[in-house]
Amino acid sequence: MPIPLRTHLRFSCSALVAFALFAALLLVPQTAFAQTVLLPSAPASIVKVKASGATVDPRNVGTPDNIRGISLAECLDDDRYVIPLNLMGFTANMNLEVWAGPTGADCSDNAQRGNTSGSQTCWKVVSGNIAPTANLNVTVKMRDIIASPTTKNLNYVAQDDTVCGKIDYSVFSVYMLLTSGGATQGTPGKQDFQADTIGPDPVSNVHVEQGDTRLHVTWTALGSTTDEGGTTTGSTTTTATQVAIYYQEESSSTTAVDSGFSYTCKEAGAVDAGVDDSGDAQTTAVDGGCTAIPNETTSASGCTAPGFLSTGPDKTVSKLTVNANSSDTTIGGLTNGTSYAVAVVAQDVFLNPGKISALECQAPVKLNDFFATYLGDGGQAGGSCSLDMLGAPAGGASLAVIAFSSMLALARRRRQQHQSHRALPSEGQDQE
Amino acid sequence: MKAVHRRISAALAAFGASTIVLAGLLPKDALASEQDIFNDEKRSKKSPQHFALEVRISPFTPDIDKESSLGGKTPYKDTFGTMKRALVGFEFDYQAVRIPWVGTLGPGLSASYTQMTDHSFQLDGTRSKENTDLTLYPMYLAAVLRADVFYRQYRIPVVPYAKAGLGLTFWEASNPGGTSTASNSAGNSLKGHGHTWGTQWAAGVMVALDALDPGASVNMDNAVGINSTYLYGEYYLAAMNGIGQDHPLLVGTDTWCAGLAFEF
Repeated sequence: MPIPLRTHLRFSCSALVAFALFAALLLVPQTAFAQTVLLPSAPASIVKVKASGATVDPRNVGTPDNIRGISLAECLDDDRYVIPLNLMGFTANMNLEVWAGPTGADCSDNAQRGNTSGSQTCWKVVSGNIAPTANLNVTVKMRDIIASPTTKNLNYVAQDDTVCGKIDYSVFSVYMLLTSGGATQGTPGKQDFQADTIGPDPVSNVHVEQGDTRLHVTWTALGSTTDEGGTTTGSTTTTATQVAIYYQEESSSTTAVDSGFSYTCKEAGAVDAGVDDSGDAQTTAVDGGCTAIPNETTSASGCTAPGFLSTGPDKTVSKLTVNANSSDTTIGGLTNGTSYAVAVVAQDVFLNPGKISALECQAPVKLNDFFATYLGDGGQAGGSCSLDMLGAPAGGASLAVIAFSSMLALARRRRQQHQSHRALPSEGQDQE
Repeated sequence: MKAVHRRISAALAAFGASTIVLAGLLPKDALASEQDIFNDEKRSKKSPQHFALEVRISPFTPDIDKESSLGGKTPYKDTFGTMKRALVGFEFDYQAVRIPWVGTLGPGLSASYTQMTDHSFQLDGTRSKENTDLTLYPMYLAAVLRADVFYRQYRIPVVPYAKAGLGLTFWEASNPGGTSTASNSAGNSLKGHGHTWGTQWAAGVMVALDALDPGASVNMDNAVGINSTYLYGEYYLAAMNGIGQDHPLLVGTDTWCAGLAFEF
């Protein structure tokens, strides 16, 4: 029995639709699971670790970008970032490669990382090729991210601390790529990092004045355009954000190397050749062949202190910080008659220190303020309770705020009552 | 003599306090209302009036150097000089009752602030670079009588007034390290802060600014509820000599004061 043409056509159409649906079902997963490298919840999920592997505060910078930053100290300490990744759609013949490039570079472009003749702009920041898995962590050294090697290489080249201290604010992009045969596959993962390893301009006109168990330090306030090292874009990331004041008891010796001071040992001859003795404590005789060079920073006036090294203040030096807009501060809790060496340095948002000021030495002295003068003249008052015990001027201000608030509340209530009375017809109006 | 002075001060303070209490307790029905006497609100269509606010400023030099134990020495003058400092503050009055053919009577609470700053002395007597401060927070609670009968009844824009009450001044001597600490002649270490009780007396005259522009005054009343605005001047005695205190810091003064006052 011949099949009617209409039935035949209907069957054919149904078959076509079914085929199309089947094909679509096959294609959809292919599309959804194409080679993709994801950075879930980045940058918050990116962890900063020390060379030892210990996790440390990531110290976000770059508000509002809130992307991770790289400072001089972090570079020198060989800190790293651990970047968690989710990989999808990879096959057995693929590799995960990690590359970095400057602002504007696209390291997913094969030419920008595979051609050493001149067009290569990216550099590899993780050694070898990583076998992809669905979830993995990639550890990248900060030094490698900011390396910007002049001679490009197809392979990873480990960087040392010589790359530190050269970046005057720049953004670097790290690309996580799935590759096959060296060619990028699918969509790469990308994360930007802000780097700045040069501190702000030095603080000028530093003066230290005597107080009673205090020293008053003044300097010329940093302007909003204070150069943070060459970039003057006005961005919060490129200007000094705070000023650090370092102080330490003045050294009694300004010539000989004092016991316990650190020093740089300049090797002479073959003895200990190649050994870096920097930072050794001078508790015994200087080893043969060395010439001890004191690391003390000495000002023109001869002011010096043991913790002010040529490389900057060490951890024995006390420090306080103030806002970059400040031009003065008071160091309290000092001992009258003891001389202290003081230096000031600006810091940027990355906490990179600028050049430290020359040391100024002053000793706090006993002073007579009004109350001491009053009691010294025979006055008897003092010691009873007062507002400062509540934290005046906060105490006085609180009283004022409470009083004004009460008054305004009364006035408002009264006005509302008045308005409601006016809204109602009065007796007189009714009569009229 | 000192005891007599204290008794007088205490009596005056008691008088002021009793006036305040009396003003609060008096039934309003016992006194003629302002509508009954002046029918002022109906005439001017102004809102009811129960409060007053004064914004105050006055030159101020405390009587610290008058302390007898100083033996004529002048630590305040030596430290802060003779230049008067500005005392700024406010006073908030509740006009509890209206006395017919006189004016309003009620309690007033005031709080003010002033600070003196100069350089401390080095041991050789020369000035150092470090500051020393004396901060005062004078306050008082007083009975306030404002005789606005001339203005309300006769349209003479002058309101004489008087105040009497109890004063309290908190004080603090400080340096950049915070509240000062020093030793007295007996070798005891004392903190440089305290309070002083005393009495407060004042008399002054307010000039109604409403008279300059009555239309604006009505508009202000309609907009924010302020009935009248005044420019005033007063002379006051802050006898802060330490009622019941053994060793008060004499932070009172007698001086003039000026400012703006608002009734609402």
